[in-house]
Amino acid sequence: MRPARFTSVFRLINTGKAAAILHKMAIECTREDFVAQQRMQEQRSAARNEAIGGQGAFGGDQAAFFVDDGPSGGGVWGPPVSIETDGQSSSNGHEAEQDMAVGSLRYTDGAECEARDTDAHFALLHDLSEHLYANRGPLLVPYL
Amino acid sequence: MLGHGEPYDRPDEYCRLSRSTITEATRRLTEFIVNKWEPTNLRRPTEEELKHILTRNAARGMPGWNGAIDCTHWQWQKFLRALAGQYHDRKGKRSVVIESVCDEDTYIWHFFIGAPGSYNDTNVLASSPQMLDVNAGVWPPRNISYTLNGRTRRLLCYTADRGYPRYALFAAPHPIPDTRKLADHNCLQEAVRKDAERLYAVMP
Repeated sequence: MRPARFTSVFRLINTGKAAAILHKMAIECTREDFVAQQRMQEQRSAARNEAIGGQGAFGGDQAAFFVDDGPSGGGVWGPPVSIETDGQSSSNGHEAEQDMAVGSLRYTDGAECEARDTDAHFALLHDLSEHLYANRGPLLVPYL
Repeated sequence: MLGHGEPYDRPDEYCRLSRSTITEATRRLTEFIVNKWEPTNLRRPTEEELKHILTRNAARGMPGWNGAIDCTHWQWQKFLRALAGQYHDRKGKRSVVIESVCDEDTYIWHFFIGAPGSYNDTNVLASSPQMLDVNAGVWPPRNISYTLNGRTRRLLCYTADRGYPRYALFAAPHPIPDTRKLADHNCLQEAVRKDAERLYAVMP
């Protein structure tokens, strides 16, 4: 970003927002030519050829995401649930938290605690490391 | 003017416009752009757009990730003397901080500008409207889950650098990558995280 030459913060913010909007418009017009888009098209066609891919997934052996009605256990987003115990997640002592009203103090407190949980962060890093290491061959190819 | 940060009186000869006219035209243009397109262009992704982002990031090896978050400093040259201390950044210049989330195409999904230059990533995050939504449980959506290493999670994440706090919301690089597994993780995480750096390189 070039040095801003405005004397008020409001104009500075407006100019930054205008630059971001114009950037998004430019990307919308030119993104078909991006290497990332071409790579995505190739992956999609390869997945189609191999008849792999679940709900919205391509280039992998599992679905990218699942859409459902929300967490069945406790909490706002809920703790990570192992696939083996997925069906029993509601019986882990969090039944009382299922009734949290959205927007209530308890709900927002729970959301903040879950989003800022440091232990969950390191558990996420561990799981991500395992996931990436298992698929490191094809995943590292674009960057090597 | 917007793209190169030219002074208002520099293009007056070849544009044949006076300084005051250029000043007013630039102000009106930016206000028009922001008023007309801010609600549609600087908003959170819809559910369909979020699914598309998740699908793309899953193909890159990062399931459940909805973008790369980072901050940059936008140098403020004509700062007010009264605000000099507040906007004094670590390099000795005056600047405002921009926080943004973008995808692989450097398409912006979150844009927050205006934090003083004395703020670091953590301070900006604390005042960011997106983090306020996360703290309120409004964002990310609760009805989307993903599977990672045999565990199903619902809290969608962002890739972030070491300056961000160790929250469950962020996937920062490993602090001590002393094994091949952790080094590979940091390599791929960095590749995804650098989307935000590329955005700041190509933005006008």
